[in-house]
Amino acid sequence: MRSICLFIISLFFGVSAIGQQITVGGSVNVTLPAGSAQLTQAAATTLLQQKFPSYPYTSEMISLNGTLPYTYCNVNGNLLQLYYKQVDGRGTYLTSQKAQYDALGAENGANTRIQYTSSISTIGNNPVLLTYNTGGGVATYHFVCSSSTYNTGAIIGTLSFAPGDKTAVTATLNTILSSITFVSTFSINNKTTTPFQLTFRRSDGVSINISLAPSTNNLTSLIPVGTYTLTISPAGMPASHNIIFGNRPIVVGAGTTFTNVNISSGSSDLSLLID
Amino acid sequence: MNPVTYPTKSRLFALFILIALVYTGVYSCRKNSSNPSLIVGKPNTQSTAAATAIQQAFADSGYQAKSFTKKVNDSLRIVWKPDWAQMQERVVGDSSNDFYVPMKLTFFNFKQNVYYTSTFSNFKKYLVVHLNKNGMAFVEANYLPDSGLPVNNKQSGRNQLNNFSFSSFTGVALFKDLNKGVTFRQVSYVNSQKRALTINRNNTNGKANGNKWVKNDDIQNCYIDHFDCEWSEIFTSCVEFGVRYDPGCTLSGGGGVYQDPQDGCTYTLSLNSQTPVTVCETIVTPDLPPGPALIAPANVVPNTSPCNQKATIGKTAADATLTNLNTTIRTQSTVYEYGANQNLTSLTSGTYKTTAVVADTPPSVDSWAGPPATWDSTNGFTIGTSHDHPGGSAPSPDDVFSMLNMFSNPDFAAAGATASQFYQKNAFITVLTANSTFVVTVNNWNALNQLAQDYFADKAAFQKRYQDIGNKYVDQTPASMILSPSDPGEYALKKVFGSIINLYKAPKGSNTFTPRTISSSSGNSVIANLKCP
Repeated sequence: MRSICLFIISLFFGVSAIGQQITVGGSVNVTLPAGSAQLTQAAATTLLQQKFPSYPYTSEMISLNGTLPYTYCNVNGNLLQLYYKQVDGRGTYLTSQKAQYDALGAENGANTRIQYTSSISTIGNNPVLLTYNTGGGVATYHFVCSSSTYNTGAIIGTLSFAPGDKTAVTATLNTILSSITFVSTFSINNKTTTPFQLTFRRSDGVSINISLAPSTNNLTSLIPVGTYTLTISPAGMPASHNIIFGNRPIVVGAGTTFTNVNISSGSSDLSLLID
Repeated sequence: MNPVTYPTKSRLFALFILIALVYTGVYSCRKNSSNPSLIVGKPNTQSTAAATAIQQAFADSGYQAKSFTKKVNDSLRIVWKPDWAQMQERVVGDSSNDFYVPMKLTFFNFKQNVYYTSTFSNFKKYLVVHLNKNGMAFVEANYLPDSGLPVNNKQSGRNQLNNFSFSSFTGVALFKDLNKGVTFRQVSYVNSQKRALTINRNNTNGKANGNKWVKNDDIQNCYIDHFDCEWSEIFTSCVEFGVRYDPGCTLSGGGGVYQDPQDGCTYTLSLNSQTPVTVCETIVTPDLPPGPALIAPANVVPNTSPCNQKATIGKTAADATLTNLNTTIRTQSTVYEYGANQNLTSLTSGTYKTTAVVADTPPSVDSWAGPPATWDSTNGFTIGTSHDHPGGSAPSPDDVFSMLNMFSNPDFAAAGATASQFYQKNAFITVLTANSTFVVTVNNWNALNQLAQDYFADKAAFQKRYQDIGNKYVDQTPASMILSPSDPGEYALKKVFGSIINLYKAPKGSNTFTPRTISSSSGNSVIANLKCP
């Protein structure tokens, strides 16, 4: 009996330590350490002010644009900010972003002053651009995690903490970044010689544009969960083709529009073939 | 107590005469000054002779060997060298001046005749020279900030003093009067304000015990103990050298071999020097070294709106001398940053001198300090600089604050309020990139001066703010709205400085400058052209 109780207790704590998964931007799953809590923007600002009372610039560590859908989390007393950005994160995207971040502090030894570092590496299954800076008793990891496969999204974030906690925070962040998985994928094949423009529109204003090159095989895009109107338009000389969308009736034409497109796990609306 | 080596009698007499002459010159001139209490960052013209006398007296005193050179082992010495170029002056009263000379840390292997400059310490050491009509007193001052790593933690590793600032100094200072031998006073500071005496040791020689303030800045202080411990940290595996200052000698248990937790480098910690003291005295404590130069508020000129100034910027940029200067700078700056001073021939002609286009020594790909500014009819009147950013970035915060440097120029200071007002009205910096020309002017000198206090108080915090704003701009702005590589930097600069500065941009080769501003576009906060009526 005693061993059963011990097993149940250990199982309970084991499950607690696994952490909690959140979905950012409807497309990216992130697992946070156990005990992490999501915050409002106001609560996030308060957390920074309380943690760094002598740093006068905490308000500028929060989003410049209050309307952007940031996710704020208290992770072990530190503020994690996550933002899903619709961007083609493949190819040279991270390299070009790195150049922009690096350039900000390049003058007059400023990067040395804030102990700035930046690097691109693979963490978990994804390429990650990771930068670090510190000043005024505040340290910040800033990251951009894209996908080498999907063309429509990257997750951007910051984790702010006391510089003395760097070792522990680095380990925590490594775990968080390793857990990032891109979901809600949409598979596209264009076997024609015509380029197309695809537009997913959601009723809440979310709009995703995909430029589809001729003869594109097995392109996988990230489309956040939701119900969309999908418009397919030729971007070159119009010609009639077979447009095969999931299990829906085949459309023959130069382009078309599908309504009530259901992007979610298990949906039959997750593939498009233009033949 | 070690005897102090003084100059020979004849040299001492000559030195005293020099001090008296310097002193007379300084104070007779000061009576004519419109702003006698102005703090200057470096010695002014009148004090230059005093500075020379101080260097000579220090060289003759033998303090370099006796007080600023310490034995580590049979081959290694810690050598603190005065950095005379960084000497600062504070006017204490009508009859005395304090000069502050930062001491640079080096380790010297005299058997191999090698100086090691890859050093670090947890404190700042200064030579403070008190000059008055009675002569010159040398004080060694050690400033230990609270923000550093714990002194008594042997495993704490290197301490680089990244955020050290006298403008917001919180910590402990220990002063040694070198002329009298070794006498101490220890003062704690909170945000640069003296707070309380921190030495309160048991007295063992029957003299008065304890310590107290005897007037505002004077202390009566009696104690006996070991103080002033300096521990050397020799990183043999990383070939680095450090000094850990321990003013109260709290690091007990002797030295040993320890490891920096940051990178695992092992270091040998050993007690290098300490001083037993029994003393009872009343001494004035010198103030902290001065911060950056301040602008006399009476000289601040009215604000200038960017649209009103736009035409003047274009006209100035079209000046043939400046155009040639910028062309030469661009030609030179293929890899390294080159630049030149923008010097007017006079304050009335509106014409510019051809100045030397130079890089720093050694040349740098991302930094340009330039030659010293001048304010005379021979070399010209420096009202700004022009330099290139080969990397394509916007003007940096350091570039903007460089316009305050002129206020530490002794010739400029001597020229009085008229020169100050002229400079404030006409100063500008030019930054060149492959595709653009930027001009920055100051719209509000008072506010810039206030902001400079934050900057000098904690440059790293200031820079972090700039970096974080720029990062967010890159994160959040759609790629289609970032129109040039300098956009994030321009945005961060305008966000930090706001209307304190006017930022102008023109395409390379054009003199049509447009004011830049932060505006809203499609829900995004972006850097954009300001539309002038």
